[in-house]
Amino acid sequence: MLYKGYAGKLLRVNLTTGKVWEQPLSGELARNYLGGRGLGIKIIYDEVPAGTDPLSADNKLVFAPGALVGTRVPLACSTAITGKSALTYLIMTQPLFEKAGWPVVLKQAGYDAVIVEGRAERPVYLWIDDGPAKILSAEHLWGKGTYETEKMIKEELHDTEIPVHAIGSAGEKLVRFSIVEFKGELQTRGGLGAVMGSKNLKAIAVRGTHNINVPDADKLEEWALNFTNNKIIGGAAYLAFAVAQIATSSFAFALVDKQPFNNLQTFEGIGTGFPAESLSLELFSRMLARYTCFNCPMGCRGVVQIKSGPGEGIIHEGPACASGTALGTMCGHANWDTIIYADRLCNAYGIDPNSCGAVIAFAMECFERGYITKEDTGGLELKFGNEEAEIEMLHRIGRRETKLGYLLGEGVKKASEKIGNASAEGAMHVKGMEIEHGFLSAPRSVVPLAMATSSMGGSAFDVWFNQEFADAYLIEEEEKRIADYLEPLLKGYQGMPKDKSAFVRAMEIFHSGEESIQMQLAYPTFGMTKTGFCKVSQNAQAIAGSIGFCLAWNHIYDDAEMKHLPHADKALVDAINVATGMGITVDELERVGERIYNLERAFNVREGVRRKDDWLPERLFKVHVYKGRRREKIVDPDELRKELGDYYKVRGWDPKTGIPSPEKLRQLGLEKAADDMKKILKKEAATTKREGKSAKERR
Amino acid sequence: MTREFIVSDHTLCTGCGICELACSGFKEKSYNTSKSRIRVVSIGYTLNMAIACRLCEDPACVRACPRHALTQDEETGIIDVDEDKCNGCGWCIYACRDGLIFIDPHKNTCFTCDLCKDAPDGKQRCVEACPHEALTKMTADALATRLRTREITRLLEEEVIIPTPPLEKKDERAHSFKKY
Repeated sequence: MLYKGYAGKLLRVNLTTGKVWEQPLSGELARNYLGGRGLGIKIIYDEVPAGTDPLSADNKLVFAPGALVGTRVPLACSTAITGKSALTYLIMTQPLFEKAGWPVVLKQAGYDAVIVEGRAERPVYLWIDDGPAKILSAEHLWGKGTYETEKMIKEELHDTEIPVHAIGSAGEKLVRFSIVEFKGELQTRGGLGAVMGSKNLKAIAVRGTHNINVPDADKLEEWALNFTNNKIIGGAAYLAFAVAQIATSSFAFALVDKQPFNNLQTFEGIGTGFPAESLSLELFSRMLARYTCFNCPMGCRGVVQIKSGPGEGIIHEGPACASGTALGTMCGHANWDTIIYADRLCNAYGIDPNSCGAVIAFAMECFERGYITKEDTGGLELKFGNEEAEIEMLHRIGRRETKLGYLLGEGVKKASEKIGNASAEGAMHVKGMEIEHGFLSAPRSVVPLAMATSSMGGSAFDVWFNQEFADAYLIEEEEKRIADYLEPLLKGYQGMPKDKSAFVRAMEIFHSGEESIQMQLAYPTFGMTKTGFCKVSQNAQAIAGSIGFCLAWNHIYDDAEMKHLPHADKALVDAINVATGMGITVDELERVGERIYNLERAFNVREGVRRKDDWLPERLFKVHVYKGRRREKIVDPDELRKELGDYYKVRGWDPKTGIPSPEKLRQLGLEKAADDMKKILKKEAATTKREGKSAKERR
Repeated sequence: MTREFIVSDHTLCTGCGICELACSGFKEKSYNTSKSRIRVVSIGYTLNMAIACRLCEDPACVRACPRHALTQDEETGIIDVDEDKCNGCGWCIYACRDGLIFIDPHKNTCFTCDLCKDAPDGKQRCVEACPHEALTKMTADALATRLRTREITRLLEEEVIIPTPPLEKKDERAHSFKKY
């Protein structure tokens, strides 16, 4: 029997044959994988065999709303798009948060997921109107940007309310780090836009009018109200996010003094005179309104306007969290006009701004070092800090014009292989995915370890990264100055708790108060080791992706009084039980998280990932950040090596190869994956033996 | 006029849609944004507003109903729908200039905001649920007062009006956040 809160059906679409059919969702599947990211990896693991070309018709795409999406549980609003990534050739789950509630409407249309396979001969888009999908021609939409596509589809279907997920021209042209786009998406990573493009699928539009049933709507309302009013509103995270808009400013530009510059060649901060504070405040002053995702009481984003330059006058729904770093300082400048415009272009082309910035910064470094010449760039002076060249390069990548634009569209890893020389040194990626530079800054934090082991490549979002922001390293007087500066916001904001002490505390948490130091080194507080914390928070993020929570959920659910992991888990368990009546326990939920993460790892191992791939770009071991005015290393290679060993042990994976042990997988109920791993381990052992033998013979 | 209706303050509303969920949760006992009595309207990026039935005088929807399924309560102004008479013809939708009466596609009857009149605690679910306190149940007169006060406050802040004695001057930095 299926639980409440689910729609109960999966929609399958084969674009090659044009066949559309439905499949029931079993209660067992829902209990073991919840939905969203969990459901996605389960389907992809079972149905996409090892070695599949991600851009071939054999790859599949799963668009799955989280399990709690559509119910009243606050923060539940995301779609998880899962498939084999065109960028990393590994598993990729792209979370997508937006305002119009695409996943909510999809569930109201009666589906817990849409699974797309095959390849259409001509460009098409899907129209799911309260029932099975229609495959409609998208010839007239091909080549259009995401904003225009959405507008045209709405006009065509005579409904201005329908949410549309679409790819831009980057996805069509198979730019490897392209994304599935919705206007105003938050932080997502690339790799699946090209997969959608390779299937000739331009967009998916939905409309739904069916009820999403819950066990007891009144009880859920009561729970949600209580939770929103007592736990979220007035909590430190709420004040910081909703009042001070820390999310937009600090995510985008870290109100902190360790900003990676010039393709991570240096870190700049207050210690070196970088005006991080005034730049963040400049972004504040541009905000015209708040922007929120569906069903989120926070509304952490701002709508900003471009004041000058090529995009003058454009009103844009806030730069994505990493844009300030990736499209700004990584490319050698800190001009908000250019950053916001570039972010806008990324949205229109459907590219991941983080990867895009990394690729352009990489090209700039290559140009400065002479690996590529003016001939390659078509006369562009592609130097750090040249904003015009950056925008021009972005256009070329988005449209895949010129040889260099085409090459950079392949991602930083492939580009560096092609360019050769010593350019690989500047290719900042993990497993082919450009790293999230903006999240790197705290020494000794869990992020480098999580980034090295992340199943999606160089991504920081599958760890609890709040400790990153907690640790802002501001010296005391700076901290006070910012608190003073932001205080008037509290006064001017109606409908807000007027408790100043809570606000100052929020500031402290975000700017290196005593508590934040504990948060930064969170694992001792939780009675855990760093590796254990990494594991637990990775599992927790997997759960969040599966129930459709915002990736920053831990800021919110784990704020103020609920500072400890088990409490946050308890909140999740409550949310799931009250919305679905599943009766899940904390232990069981933790096993679900672990199951999802292990299955993702097993998928990657099947594709050839081993321990040697869990490593960071060498440059990160060399650069320094500033703590106040003190220089500190971000990550030490020996320490990381040791931590990795511990990590595999904690995970129950083979410490030599990084392959999950079959016993561990069996414990989690992953029989098929266990058998696969057994075969791979056997093969691996045979190879090592052979290599050992030949080495002996050689001797 | 002492009739109260749901008023949304567009300076506070973010358009998150929580009111839609809370409304359908109470009225339908399950969640469905397309069956909410209150709807979020977002124009561009900068204007968000959640609006529900204005409970107007001599309502056009009541007049337009060819089957006399709609009646207005004289005291509260709430539009009652006789579901036996209503056949979902949709003339009321044509008539309502604000687009605040809807048709249930499954039951094929119309529905609109009734201020949660059957709530045991007499409270409106959307007002309770709004995390930004943007929604209130108020009379048109109270709304006018609020707008008036706000406008005068704005003029004061911009120093178009200068009272005697003048107000204490605010921190200039706070001024730059005013728009927001």
